Amino acid sequence: MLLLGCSADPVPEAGGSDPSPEAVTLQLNWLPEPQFGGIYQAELDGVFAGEGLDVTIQPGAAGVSAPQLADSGRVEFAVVGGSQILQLNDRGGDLVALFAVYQHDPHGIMVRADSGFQNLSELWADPEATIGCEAELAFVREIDRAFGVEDGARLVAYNLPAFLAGTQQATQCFVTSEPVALELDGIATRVFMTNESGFDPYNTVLVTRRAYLDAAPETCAAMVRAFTRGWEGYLQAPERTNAEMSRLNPGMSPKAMALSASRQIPLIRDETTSRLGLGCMTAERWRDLAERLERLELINQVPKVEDMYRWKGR
Amino acid sequence: MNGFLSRVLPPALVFLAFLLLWSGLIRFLDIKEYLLPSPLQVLEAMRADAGLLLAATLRTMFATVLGFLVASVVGVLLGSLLGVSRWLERGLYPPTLLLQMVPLIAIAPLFVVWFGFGMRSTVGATVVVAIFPVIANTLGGIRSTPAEHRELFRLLGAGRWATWWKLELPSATPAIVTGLRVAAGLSVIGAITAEFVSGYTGDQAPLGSLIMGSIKTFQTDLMFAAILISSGVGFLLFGIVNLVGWLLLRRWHGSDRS
Repeated sequence: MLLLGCSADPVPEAGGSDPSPEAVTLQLNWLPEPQFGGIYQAELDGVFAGEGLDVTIQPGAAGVSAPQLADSGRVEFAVVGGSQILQLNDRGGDLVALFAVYQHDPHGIMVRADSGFQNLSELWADPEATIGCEAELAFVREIDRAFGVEDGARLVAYNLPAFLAGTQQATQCFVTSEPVALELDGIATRVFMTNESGFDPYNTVLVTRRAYLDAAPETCAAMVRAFTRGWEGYLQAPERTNAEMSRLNPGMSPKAMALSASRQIPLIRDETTSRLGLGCMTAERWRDLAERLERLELINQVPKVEDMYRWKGR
Repeated sequence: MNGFLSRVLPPALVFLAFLLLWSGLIRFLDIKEYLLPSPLQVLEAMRADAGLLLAATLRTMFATVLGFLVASVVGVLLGSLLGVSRWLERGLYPPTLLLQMVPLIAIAPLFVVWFGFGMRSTVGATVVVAIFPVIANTLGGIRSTPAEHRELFRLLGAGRWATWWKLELPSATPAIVTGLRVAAGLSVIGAITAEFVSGYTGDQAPLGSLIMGSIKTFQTDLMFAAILISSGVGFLLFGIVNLVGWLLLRRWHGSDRS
């Protein structure tokens, strides 16, 4: 597979500049937190404005479906999970990925540090264990396919209070979220990362719908440039942005923001991004994900992955 | 035959018109299937996942019926207790109102901590949601017992238990049946909502878990199928309550003579 160059421009720059900023809405898939740090950094540093964009950042919440909002045209851009793009497109959507913040999947299965479980295989095989998770999600299905046994652990609805109360032995988590919150509450946990099992989709992916990309390629290019500069700035010095995000999301203290931000760095920067740039994507990775999702029966067929993302003029 | 046709034809025609409108809107507005599946796609989802849906329906139905029965019995008893004296009513009625006001989706995760996953917490949540109309209607029915009937029982030397069993409860039966009709619908809502956070998932999923899962995987056709089936469970329970009410009241109360 030909890997494309190192510039951060996914589409050709348009000639001339429009003095009026382009008003767009960016829908997040959760509340303000380090997962979106580069976005808020871009806002605070005036990067969006410098790119001629007037971006309304719309925080997400439980029940808000960012992929559907983007595909239906309610918003111009959204941040979604990599698997969601394939699944929605398989059901008639037409999303295109522009920038993958997380190069590695941040999901995991969390147990208490003193639980005695050494790996996912042990946990999934334990008939006394209950695991709080959304069993339909791709990463859970993949783990279940790899480690599930008859009369093994029971999968129950995600419910963090139940995990804290001890009625659940394990729970799914976002490595920058639940473990951080519990650590700051003095509860030691250990996380079995799902990407260690080989299932490692992109996450926190900037998407738009194809019709919008075709109609406003320069706006999309500007968004990607802003994302790149925003994330570079945030990874260097996140403190000011963390303070702002903590103000917007009082449920997460600046201390929690700082810890979460430090935990996500290996998910964002790796050997590939050092060659291709932050947010880069390859057809190989997308095809691997599509094949896994087809095997899990979460999509009906593997699509032409080259059409699903834009990176380096593709 | 004419009578049968005149009962069945109007709702059947309205239903058919609704299906045609639904399909037409999808075609005319080019609505994507993950936003609004067509009736045929929903039917296909029911066929393709028939086993999964049937198993899920039985789990939800069991929790719904059990929760409804507990709510009914406890509700009638509590309503009767409140009817014993105005003092008791004034003291205990406000706390029972809390059952009506509490947002189930907020406390359902705590039910899991208190009662564990699965059936117990689902039944508990169903009882919380369904019990208030039974209490309120039982109390209202008992309070509506004609004064002259009470006087007659007093003159005949009837004790408190006999008065309740032979006068107040029969007098309150039409109101209780009305409360049970409301509770039937609420029971399904309570069970499904509780299952969002308390149910088993995967191949042990009840309807609520199935609905949540299908939302997350954009399987809107499966979601619609599960929702329609859960509505069907509600209709079934409502129908049973109606039948029981008719059997109890048909001989002596105008409300259920037809």
